[in-house]
Order: sequence, then C-alpha cells, then structure tokens
Amino acid sequence: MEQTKTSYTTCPYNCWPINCGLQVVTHNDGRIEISGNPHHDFSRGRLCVKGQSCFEIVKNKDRLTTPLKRNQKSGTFQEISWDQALDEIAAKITLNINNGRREATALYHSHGNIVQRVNWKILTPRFANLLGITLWDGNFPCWYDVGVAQQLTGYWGLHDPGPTCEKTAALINWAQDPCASQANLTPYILQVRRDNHKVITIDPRVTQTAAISDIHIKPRFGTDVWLANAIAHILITEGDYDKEYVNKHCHGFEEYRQHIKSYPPDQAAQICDIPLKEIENLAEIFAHSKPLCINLTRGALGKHLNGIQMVRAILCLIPLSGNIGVEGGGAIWGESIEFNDALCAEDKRPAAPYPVNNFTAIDQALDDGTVNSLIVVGGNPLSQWPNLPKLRRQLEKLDLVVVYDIFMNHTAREAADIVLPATSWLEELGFRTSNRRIYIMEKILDPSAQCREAGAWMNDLAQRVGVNDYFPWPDKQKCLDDCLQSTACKNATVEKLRQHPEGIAADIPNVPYSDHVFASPTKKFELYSTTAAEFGIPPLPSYAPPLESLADTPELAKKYPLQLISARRNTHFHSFHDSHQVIKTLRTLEPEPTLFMHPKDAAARRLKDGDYAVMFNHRGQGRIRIEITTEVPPRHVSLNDSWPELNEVTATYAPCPTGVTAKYGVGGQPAYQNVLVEVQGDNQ
Amino acid sequence: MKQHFFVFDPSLCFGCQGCVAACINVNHIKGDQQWRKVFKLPPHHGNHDTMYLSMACNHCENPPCVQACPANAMQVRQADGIVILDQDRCLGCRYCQMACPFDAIVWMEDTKTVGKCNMCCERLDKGQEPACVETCFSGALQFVTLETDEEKDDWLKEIIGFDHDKEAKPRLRFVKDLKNNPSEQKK
Repeated sequence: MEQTKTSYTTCPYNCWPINCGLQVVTHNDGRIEISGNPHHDFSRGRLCVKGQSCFEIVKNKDRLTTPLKRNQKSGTFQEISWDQALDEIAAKITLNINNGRREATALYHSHGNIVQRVNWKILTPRFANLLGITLWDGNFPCWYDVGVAQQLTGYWGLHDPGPTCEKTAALINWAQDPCASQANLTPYILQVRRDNHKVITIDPRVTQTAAISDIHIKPRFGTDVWLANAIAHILITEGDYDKEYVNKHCHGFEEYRQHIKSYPPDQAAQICDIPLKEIENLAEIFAHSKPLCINLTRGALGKHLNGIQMVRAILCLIPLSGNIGVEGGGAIWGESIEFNDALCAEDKRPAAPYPVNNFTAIDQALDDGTVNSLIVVGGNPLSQWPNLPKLRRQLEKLDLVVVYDIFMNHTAREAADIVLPATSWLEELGFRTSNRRIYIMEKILDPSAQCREAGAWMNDLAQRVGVNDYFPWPDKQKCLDDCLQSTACKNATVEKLRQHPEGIAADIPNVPYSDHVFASPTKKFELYSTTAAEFGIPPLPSYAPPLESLADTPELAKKYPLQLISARRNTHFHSFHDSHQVIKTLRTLEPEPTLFMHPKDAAARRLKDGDYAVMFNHRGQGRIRIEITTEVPPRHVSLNDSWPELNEVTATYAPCPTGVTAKYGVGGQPAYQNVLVEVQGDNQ
Repeated sequence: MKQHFFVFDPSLCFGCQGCVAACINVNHIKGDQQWRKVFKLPPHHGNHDTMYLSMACNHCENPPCVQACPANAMQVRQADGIVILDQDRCLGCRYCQMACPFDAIVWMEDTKTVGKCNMCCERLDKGQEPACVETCFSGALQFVTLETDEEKDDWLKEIIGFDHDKEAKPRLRFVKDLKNNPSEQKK
C-alpha cells in the first residue's frame, strides 16, 4: 500500500483575525494533497475559495525561482546570483550608513511576510533594528487608524469571534463584510441567528454579510459618527444605559453626555438618510439585547478621513450598553498573542531620524529624498498604496528598489531594480497565532529552485553590513522555540505544536477586560480621550465630513459625481499572488477589475453590463469592466481592493498625526475610501 | 432504490465560490475547468439584490448524456443512481455535452475528454460528503440521501432561474422553507 505522510499547517492567506487550518498529505511520489484541517478549533476542516485553491501556489509555473536584476538600458530582468544581489544591496545600505543617513534605507514588510508570524513580529523588526534602517509595516494601509481609535479609548476589542458569536444575543457587523473577507465566520454568524438572536449589518452596500443578516441598515456613506452618537443620545436620554458601569469605569461621561446632545436622532436620520425608526430600533437592541457584540475586525472605517472618530463613536456604545468584561459582549477585533519581544532588539537600534510608519511620513520621506532605497518584503506598494501616479514618480527617483516575493507583482514589474525569490509557506518551518491558539506551520517541502526564507537571506545581508548576531540560533526550530518564550506562548514549543494539530491555547484572559483596567492614562475607558486632546484630535467622538464626498465637496462632485468604495470579495486577499492572476481557479472567477455600478448610473452613462470603461479623477485613471447591480447605492461605485486600478485614483491624505504613530506604533492609514470619480465608456 | 440529491437553499448562498474551488481541489482538475459553477439568478422579488445558484451535474433520473454517449463512458451506478463518467473510455466526441440540458459537462483540453461531477462517489463510499457540500460555509448546498423512490414534500423542483426538465428529471432540489429571506421563494 502507498505510504503517505500527513502534516499540518495553516492557510497561506492572511485574513484577520482567523487563519484556517490545513492538512497536507504527502504521497511518496512527491504529490501533495491539501485539504482543511478537521482538528482546527475554528475552521473545522472548512476552507474558502482561496484556501481550496492554494494547491496551485507551490508548483506554479509563474513562481520566481532566481534573483533578478533589471538591465537599466533594456529595462528587462536578468538572472543573477544571490551573492551578487546581496552584495549590491549591502553596498547601498553601507553607503547610506557611512554617509550618516542610515534612515535612507527603508524596509517595508507586508502581508506576505505576516503569514509567518515570527517574521512579522520578531525576525524582520530584529533585522531593521540591528542594522539601523527605517522599518515600515504593511498594517498601515490595512487597519492602523482603527488601532488608534482603540488605543485612544484604552479598549482593544480583544474578543475572539468564535466564542463571542456562540454566546452573544446580538451581533452587529459595523462596516464589516466577514462573509467576503473572512468567510469562515459564516457558520458562527448563522449560529447567532439559529439561536434566535439578531444579526445586524450596517453598510451602505448590500454586502454578502448583509444578505444573510436579520437587519440591514444602510446609512449614507461616511455618516457613522452620527448614527453611533444618535444611538448614544437615545440611550442616555431614556436612561437606558449602564449607569453603574459608566460611573465606575469610564472617564469623561459628563463631557460625553453634553457632547452627545448635539447629535439628536431626528437630525441623524436626515444626515444618515435612514428612517428615524431604524435608529430607534438599533438603540432598543443596544439597550435590551444582552450580551451584545460589535464586529470591527477590519479597517474599512479607518480608510475614512474621519475614521478614528467613527470607530471611537462606535466603541463608546460598548461600555454605555454594559458590554465590557462579559462573554458574548464587546468588540470583536482579534486577540493579541505576544512573543518574546526582547528578541526584536529594539534597545540596540541606533538612533536616527527614522520616518515613522504613517503614510504622511512615508509620502514625505519619498518626496523629499529622506529615503533613497526601498526593500519590499512580501508587499506590493504599486497596487496597495494610494495615489499610484504619484507613487510611481516617487519610486522612479529612488536609487534602489528591491522586492522579495513568491511571484512577480506590480511593484516588482514596474519599479524593482532587484527581485528576490521567496519560499512559500510549505517550504519553511513556522507557527501561526489565530483564535487564541498557536498552530504549527510544518515545513513540508524543500524550497523550490533558489527560493530562500526571509530570515536566511537577511542573515547573509546583515553579515555583509557588519552585523553578525542577527541569527544566533543553530537552526530554525531553536529560533522558533526562543521566540515562543513569552507569557502568552509559554506552553508551546515546536515539538509540542507538532503533536497538537488542534493548536495549543495561548495563556491570555478568557474574557478581555474582566478586571476593568484599561490601557489609557486614566486606566478607565476614555469616553473623553485625554491623549486625543494632547495630539489635537477631537477628544470626544465628533463628526467631520469625508475628504471628498457627494454632499460635502459639491464642486468636486460636479466633475466627479460618483463615490468610490473599496471593497473585498472572497476571490482575493489584497493583491496577493499578483492580484490572484497566477492562481488559475481565482483568475477564472475574477479575471479583471470590475466596477460595481447602480443601474441608474449605468443608464446615465449609456453603459451596459460587461462594458469596458475608464474610471478617473484628477489624480489618475484605471480601466475597468462594468457590472450593473443594485448592491451599490445610486451615485456610488465599488471596486475590489485587489486591483491597482483602485489606487490610481485614491488620495495620499492620511489624517492621523505622525506623533500618534511615534507614540503608539499605529496610525497613518490613508483616506482610501474618500474618493470621487467619474466613469466613461469606451464608446463615448 | 437509494437516491442522492443536491439540495440548495438560495437564500443562504452569498456567492463565495468555495464549492467551485473545493471541487477543483479534490478532483485535481485545472482552475478553469469548473465542474461546479455558481450562477447569478435573474432578479427576484423583494429587496434582496443578488441570488446565486451553485450547480454541477444534477445526476438525472433519465440522463440524456448516458443515452448520447457512444462509448458507454457515461453510466448510471445501479446502487444509487449516480451518473458516473469513466474518462478512460471517453472518446472526446462531446455528444454528451450537446445532450445535457444543464450545460454541466466540461471540455477538458488537457486530456481531450469531457469531465464532470461524479458526486465525489469515492468520498461517498468512504462515508464522506461531496467536497463542495462539506466546504459550504452557510449550509446553502446540502446533500441528502433518500432510501426510497419517494420524494420529500418540503422540497421544490424549480425556482426562478432553474426550470425542472421533466424528461431528464434532474436530482436537484430546493428547500421550500428558506432559512433566510422567505420572500424570495418562487411565487
């Protein structure tokens, strides 16, 4: 009988907060079969369309297999050796250091690197700290301003979706579409409904999650502060709030109460463009459905000019309705499992004026030449950063652009001088943290061709720059075991993880904030944020109009009368795998950028379903295919964030002050969602 | 006779395409050779915007593909009525494709044969569900085995966008008691 070996790992995509489990069967002829890990505590053997397609990654004909260097004359790439590539990169880093400009080399690592948690949290920061170079992190486009809002209140939504959904009486998906972005949450959402509890989705679009919710509220784009504050207005006016909790554990209730008076529900109904009854019903749910949880898992709200305030306004409803420190209540964001952070060697980081990881600072550093070299590790700025026409000009000015990835991507193709081939997730040993557990990511295959792990080439590069203690471990397993030496991970070692395909529970509290001590200067939940006041951010959750919107910038809306929403579908994860075009299953399902448009807007532009058109504004343009649907409201269009065409038109403006990022390490998400565009068909 | 049905609740499907990819993964076919597809249904009543239908071979009671095949590559499994394609016998004449009322048979360019859903019969024999059903997050796509020739009366044979073929008698059913948005039922 044929011998097979079964190993366990996790899905190579990087959804948040849960990563599904994979089971990999290796046959003795080398074939592998990938399916869901039935032992996984959360995903229980199920995989979404991306997870089911990941068998296409490892042996893919489009994989990068060797280091490449661009011939500056012809513009084409030529194969070079790792030695030559690392020598050239080291020479540039050394030159910058010798010129007293160590910050001029920037390393940007993003979701491709976050897949291996230890790379993201330890090995890459360690590299940047020991060498003394600028470090930017791909979390800034994704969710950073949502993080700022949580930091300013002192309350992080550390609830895990699975157990919270199992115990909640009402689940509110506020500007979240988990059925699209985290489809494995669907059974848990439906469980809430089966238990006769309510699922509410708040979104101007008919999202996939809205389609399976009990209640769908469609506030006008960007008016979430009004909606949240009007709910608070009703709760406080009616006395339907948790007075004891607020008095004991919240800071600034009196200021908040006064402030909320200027958000009366009838005016909110007008501004949000929804019936007053819907706001009253929502307030009723907040008052009487106990426990109640709000899903805030991703960064959609942070992509608004006023995103920090939106999220804070929503978070304030949680203590007000008495939903902190209770199972099934609170905000679902995802737990935080810390590793042995001392290994990041932050104390050894040489002092220098490093531009912080906030898009305002990044944009400026690229503009004024503070940064002259960019090393991209598992990221794709020329698809996922805003205002690509501007970014293209900025990257052209740089002395050196290096891209390390498993496939070509927009940044590598258009801007890289050197491209380095990456290992896939099956070719390196690691672990993953997800749903309060730590899971093994077994090394199942030897690296393809000349592909190398990030930690391995970083070690060789560090030595070339004179840093000899970057990777002091005899092998990867010892390194991982050392990284697991933390309070949360103390029960895990690589060997133990191998024996537990169901994962090992991290040592973190079952119910976050059950001690009611918050991470704020007052140690209370700050309805009035003392830190916000310090940074010139409104200390109470306040409405401000979007950067560009139909109602608030009417002159601009005359020229560009469509509000562009960036969205997510199941078939892509950001721009992974060259915007999923190298994965045939996914490419077949989503082969080109598709702009979803309301029938009225399509008719006004004489566009038919399936027509090609150009979407444009004063910043740039992108070619898209039109799909006509009532899922977007009139005068709104939506495009999946996988596609660079989206960011040809987005703005670089990031509202969060850089001082906040310097202090908290989060903040600086560009206002991707606040964009007006016009669309013109090919035949016009 | 024992009979298997794909039973679908269109009110629960949100078009995630997980079933499509699970089928590709388990059957080791190419990403553009979809044996199962997710279709958008035509506009329905009410305010629910897009409705989907996930469909593969419907394993008809009187399968036209079996009658059309000159090579006996398409056969009905006697024990449970699954329409099984033996690709080794397929001549690549594509008559079955023309005969199928549901466009459920796919041309496989690499093997120069046709291909289609065999209801994961090898998995069924091991006591597992078809891969598409197992991976369905919402439970929209279900797999039900009846031990008799009789039909359940809480199923529908057709919905807006899918007409039951009275001659072929496809074994695809729709739940009458929709779990979500009951207004969407065919009126």
